[in-house]
Amino acid sequence: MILRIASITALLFCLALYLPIVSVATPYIELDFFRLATEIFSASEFTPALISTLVSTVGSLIIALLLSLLFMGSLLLTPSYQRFVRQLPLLLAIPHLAFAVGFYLLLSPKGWLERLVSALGLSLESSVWVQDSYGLSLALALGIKESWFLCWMIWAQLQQHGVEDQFLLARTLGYKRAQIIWAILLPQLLPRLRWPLVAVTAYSLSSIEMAWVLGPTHPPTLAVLAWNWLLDPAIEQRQLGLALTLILMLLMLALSVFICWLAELTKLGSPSGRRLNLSLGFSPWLLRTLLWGHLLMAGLLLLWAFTHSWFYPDLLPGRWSMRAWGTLELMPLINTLSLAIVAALLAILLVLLVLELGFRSSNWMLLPLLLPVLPLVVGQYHLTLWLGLTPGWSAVLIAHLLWVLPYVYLVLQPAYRRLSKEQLLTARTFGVRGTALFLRLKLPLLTRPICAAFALGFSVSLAQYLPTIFIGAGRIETLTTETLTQFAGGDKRLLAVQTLLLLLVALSAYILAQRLPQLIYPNRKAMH
Amino acid sequence: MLELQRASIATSERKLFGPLSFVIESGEILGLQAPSGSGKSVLLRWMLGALPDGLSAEGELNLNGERITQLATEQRSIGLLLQQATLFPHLSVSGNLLFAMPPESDRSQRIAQMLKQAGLDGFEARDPATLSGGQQARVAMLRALAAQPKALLLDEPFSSLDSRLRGEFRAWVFEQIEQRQIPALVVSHDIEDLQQCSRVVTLDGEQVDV
Repeated sequence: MILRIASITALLFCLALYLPIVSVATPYIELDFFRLATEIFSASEFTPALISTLVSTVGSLIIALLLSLLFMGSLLLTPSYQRFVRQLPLLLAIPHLAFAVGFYLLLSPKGWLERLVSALGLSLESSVWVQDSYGLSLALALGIKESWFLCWMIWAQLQQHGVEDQFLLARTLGYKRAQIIWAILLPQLLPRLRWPLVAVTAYSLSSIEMAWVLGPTHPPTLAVLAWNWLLDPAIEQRQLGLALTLILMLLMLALSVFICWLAELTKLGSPSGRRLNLSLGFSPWLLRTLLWGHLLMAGLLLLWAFTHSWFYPDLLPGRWSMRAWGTLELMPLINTLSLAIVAALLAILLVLLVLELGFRSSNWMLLPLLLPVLPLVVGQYHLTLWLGLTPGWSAVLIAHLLWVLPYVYLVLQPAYRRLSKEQLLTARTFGVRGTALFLRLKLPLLTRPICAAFALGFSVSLAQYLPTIFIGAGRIETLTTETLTQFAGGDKRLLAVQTLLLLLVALSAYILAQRLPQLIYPNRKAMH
Repeated sequence: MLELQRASIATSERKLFGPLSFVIESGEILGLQAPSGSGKSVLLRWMLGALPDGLSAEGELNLNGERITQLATEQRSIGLLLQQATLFPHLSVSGNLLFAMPPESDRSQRIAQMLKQAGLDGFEARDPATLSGGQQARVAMLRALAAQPKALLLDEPFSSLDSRLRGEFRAWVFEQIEQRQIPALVVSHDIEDLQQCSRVVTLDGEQVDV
């Protein structure tokens, strides 16, 4: 009974948290959208911003899908497969912003790659590598970062539908991996990856942090443009920003329809039976390059964090210093940790309680992932105003939960569904039911997914920029907001220190979550 | 002829079995008897060149006198039939067979003929999900044979069927193997399956009388 009441309360709380989705249209009701839209379309920034937005969004989607299919398809049924899958949460835990800053330090003009090329006696047209006007570098960075998420999603699908066995069977029929990816994996996976692909699109379309660091600047992408306009003191400009967020939402709708249509297009004609000699020999090399690239970017952050002076074209800093570390403030770290820990734990509790209600599907919890961030934040902002919430830590926590909840649900829902019905039934025959069953059997059995959900929820909260700034009215400083402030400041040493701290906090949470099941159950191998 | 020489498989902690050696002549059906969890399915995976992660293997595998241990799965010409039919769900019945069949001029006719012989006349356009377990198993076997394999590995192929279908399907499968004169290895712990094999060995390499 207690559990039932707690579950219903959790459901109501979740529904209240999701109100910004329902109220997302409210700010637009009184908006003279057609006049504002005409104004936006005729603005000189609009067309180039639209192009870079489409290039970065669609490009990143294609890159992420291709890379994830390539990596999973070339590793499946090899000894490296499980090793790669075990590394995925680590790659997922890297904050987008930290990745973007690392990418920037590597590929920006006078960045490390240009220094390396120069040291080799060659020259490089560096201006095209980051912040290019078409958003190509942003597409590449987003594509690489989101490919790990899609790999994870593909891994979950491969486990569920016997696709691994189909892959093996297709190989025994004489097909090479590339052709199996095309003829067997893609037609089956694409319809099931529809929503993860929509989520990737929603993130890419409305990414502010990564677009700021790697996207074009004059004009920026539509999301950054809308953000800049929304922060403008002039009411007319703010209304333009609001109208632009609506355009973003319409764009998202169009792209979602396109993805769903694409997923249905994979019905292939009759197989010809031809065995093509297509090699994926380059795939392990590409994967290794990307993984080493991640390490190189982390190394660059480390180098810049201890740099006093580093002149071009030197490969290493000329003088070292700890001075940048002295600029770190404690408050952003405390805010980050407290928000991320509380948000992740609260989300785990809420999701578990909602799952306990036993609905056939609670997939509505994934909705925030399928919508662009900016309109949702605007919706949250209007709701907080309407509720009279004071901008502060609690309001920001509630704002973060809107994105932490769906990710935690994404991890916990399949694990909860996989709980052994036989074990639960056995426990019931002993008279263990309700709250006792939940606490004494289900929670221990879910230790590992709960820890994984904590790591993911923590990193999602850690990465939130727009809700922190908008709902916190700029009063709540976190590592993410500080990193972007340092990026705007232009001092690479301060930027590196701040980013490194962001990265270290994210990875520490991941490592803790990885180790925790072993610490709780040191002598229970199946629980690790 | 399929020849296994001194094959042994181990985890990082213990040896699963081996060294195991046997020879399967063309048209012969060798039964492999072993309890669950002893590594018999792992052996089949190794013979296909797809050893699961965390295991190491030694030994040689020859097919018709050619060493194939170092070849990739798709180059070995060894067919596989699993406990579950594992049909490709996005393809029709004929799509599954066309996928396996090498390109040739009269594929549709051949498929119609194969289906007719298997008692599945007119099933070409059917969705695999709408077939019964026995029908799915027949299509899976036809698919394995359509690729014209030089040997066949069968991993508990009859255990998902009920006892009546099981006997019928087993007889039909064994007949197909004998007709095509290819060596076949059947992994099973069911005594009736093993009794129908030409001979039976254990993972210790001992020949047993069932």
